[in-house]
Amino acid sequence: MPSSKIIAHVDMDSFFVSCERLVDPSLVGKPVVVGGRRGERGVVASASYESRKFGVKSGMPIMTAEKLCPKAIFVPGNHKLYSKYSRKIYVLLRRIAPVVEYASIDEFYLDFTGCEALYGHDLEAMAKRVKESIFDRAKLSCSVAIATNKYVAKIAGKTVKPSSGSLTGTIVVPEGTEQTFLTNLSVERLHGAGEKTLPRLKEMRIQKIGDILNIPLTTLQKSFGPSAGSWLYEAARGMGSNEVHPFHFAKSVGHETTFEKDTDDAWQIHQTLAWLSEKGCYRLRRIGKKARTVTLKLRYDDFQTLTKAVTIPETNDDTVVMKTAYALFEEAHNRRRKIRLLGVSLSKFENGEGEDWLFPEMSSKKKDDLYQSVDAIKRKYGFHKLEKAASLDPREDKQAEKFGASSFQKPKIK
Amino acid sequence: MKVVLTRGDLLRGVTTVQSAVASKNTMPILANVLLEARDKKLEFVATDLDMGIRCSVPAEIVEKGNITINAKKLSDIVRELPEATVELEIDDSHKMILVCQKSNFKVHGLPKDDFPILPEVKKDKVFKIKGALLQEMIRKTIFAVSTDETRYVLNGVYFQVDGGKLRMVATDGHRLAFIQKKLEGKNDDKASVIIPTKTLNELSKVISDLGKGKEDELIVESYVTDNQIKFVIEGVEIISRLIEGQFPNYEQVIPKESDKKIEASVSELSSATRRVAILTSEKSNSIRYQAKNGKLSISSKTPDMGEAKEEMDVDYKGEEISIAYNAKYVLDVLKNVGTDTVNIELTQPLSPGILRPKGDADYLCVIMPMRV
Repeated sequence: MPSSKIIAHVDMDSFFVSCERLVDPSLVGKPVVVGGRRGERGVVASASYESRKFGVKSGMPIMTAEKLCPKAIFVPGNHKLYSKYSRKIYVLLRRIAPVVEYASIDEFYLDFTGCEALYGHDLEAMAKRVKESIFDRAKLSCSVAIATNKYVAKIAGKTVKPSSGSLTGTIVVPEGTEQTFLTNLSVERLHGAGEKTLPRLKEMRIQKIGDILNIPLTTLQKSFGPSAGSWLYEAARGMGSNEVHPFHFAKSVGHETTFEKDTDDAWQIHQTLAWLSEKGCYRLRRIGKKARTVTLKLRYDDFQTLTKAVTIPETNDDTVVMKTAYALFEEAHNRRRKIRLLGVSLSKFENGEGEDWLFPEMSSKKKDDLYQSVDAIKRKYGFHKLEKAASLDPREDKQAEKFGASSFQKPKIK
Repeated sequence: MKVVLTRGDLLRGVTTVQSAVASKNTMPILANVLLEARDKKLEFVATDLDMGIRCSVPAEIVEKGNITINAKKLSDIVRELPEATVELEIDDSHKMILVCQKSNFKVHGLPKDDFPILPEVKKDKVFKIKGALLQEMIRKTIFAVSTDETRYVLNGVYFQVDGGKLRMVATDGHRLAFIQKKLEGKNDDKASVIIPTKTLNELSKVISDLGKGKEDELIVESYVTDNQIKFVIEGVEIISRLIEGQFPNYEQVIPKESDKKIEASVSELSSATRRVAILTSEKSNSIRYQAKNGKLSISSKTPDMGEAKEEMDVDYKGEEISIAYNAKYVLDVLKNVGTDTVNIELTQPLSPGILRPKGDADYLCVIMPMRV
């Protein structure tokens, strides 16, 4: 029996775009950009392969994407829809593989160790089978890469994306060939090498992953620092974690929003903070947690970004988080500039249950009951059917949210 | 400044105030102890701005003066000195020359000007209590204090004087410890303040250091104002800020009545609890206590770990009751009850219960059960 593991990485092809195309087939074959409407200020959440040819990438401002690909169709994004498909795929994968890790909304790791015989010891067939199952059930395409660890599987998956001209969308990196497989790939393929590492590698004239093999560990550590250096050393050799974690525990929940127009209007800022706090707490209550840390994110019109955090008694109460967010804002905001983006996130979770409080004033039982009813209404009729007056904006400033403006858009009150 | 004193007196002075020195150094001078040569005595002061300790020892003052010196260095030096006379002298550049027999030290200091002045606490309300009693009250409550800094009013012990009695109460919100003792002499003044944990720990230490086993003969005087408290014991002064805010209404959470009273041996109950608690985890640390017909069964059950059960004889005649507690809370109380027998008073499985020493109406602990 082989001692190594069989890990598959499933990566959906331009997932948000594909979901939009399922809903609106007229988008098929056209350059589509998800993230915001034309002229809006959000960022690109996902771009179809047709638009990527023009240089459109995830994470760039919508306006830049417009310039690069004027013909693109801009779709605001519908997170609810993507979550629905993501869950569907997860449920399906759970039936195929013994252990499934929900790595992100469009990425999964499967541990097939011990299942080889089911596929006649043919890993290619196994990969194909996964891809076909997803396409049969969900009509969504993806790449499937099998390797002995998550890291190599992830890198391998990127090499068989439609944009790279691959027809199969599947790949197997057999045990022992990891290093050979990586050798001729560009260092840009090294997942995790980012803004700092890549330019430095270029400076050192290292273009292929194989080039890193010739550099001793100590030299790498000298050039990149002790941890990044040893990471590069291992990454180039195709070493990585092979632990597939069956559950995905969120460590924080939070939302941020870019104003359609930079603002310094106190009313609008407060309303936005209230709304962001309310959304965060709603999610917190849905996962049955309370948070102890509230973090405010503030970006000025010149892109200077500040974050400020404070620890408070554990809570999932909208009002408490709102007040905390206001206070953090007052503390952080110290420039006479307009604000571009605000975010509120909640972290350091505690379970909502356990010991009760001796003192009624510390107990949140009454509040818990109230929120249970509020949340039931929100779940049934939508988040905005019942919300705090502080979160309402009478002037109906629309906010282009990072992913999903449409699903969270406020109802128009006339 | 020029002073001559015995090594023992010098050591006593430094170590008494040393623990008030700031552990986190925000201002370098707070790591120092202030030495001040006055008439026939050498005074020592240290503070972390939240609390300060002042004391003095007899000394031959050749020349008056003052200096601040790193507290740790000074105490390390004095500790290592032979039992002999020590001579301290300050030169013009704030260096202290310390001579003791053949040892010679020159330690850099800082001038007194930058050292914070301890506030004067008005002698408005003064309460007197025996050192041993106060120590007992601190020990029996301080374990219940909350360490959660976001609930800062619970980071200290409530100190309430009314009708010639001192009550001390501490709680972390899940359990509460209450104790009351009579004050010395007649006093109709009232007071209610919250004293930080560190101050009380230092106070207890000072009482031990001065009492040397005879704490019962020591009288502690406390001066209470709205923002500060000062304790005076045999010339040693501890001055502390108070925790501002409203201490929760503790009286309302002490159950008034109980229909289920269990009487158990403290030693048996604590060793059984300790054993059963072995099979609990950080996540689920609850232990189940079940009383029925003169028997108390103590059990734990932790998924993926195992279960433990133990039974002991108790005095109980009421209805069968089963209640789950955090084992640590129960053990903390049993460690401090001070009697051989403990009374456990319960009502409902999800309502708070009382643990108190048998025959002592002045001490009790309330524990909130766990929901399992």
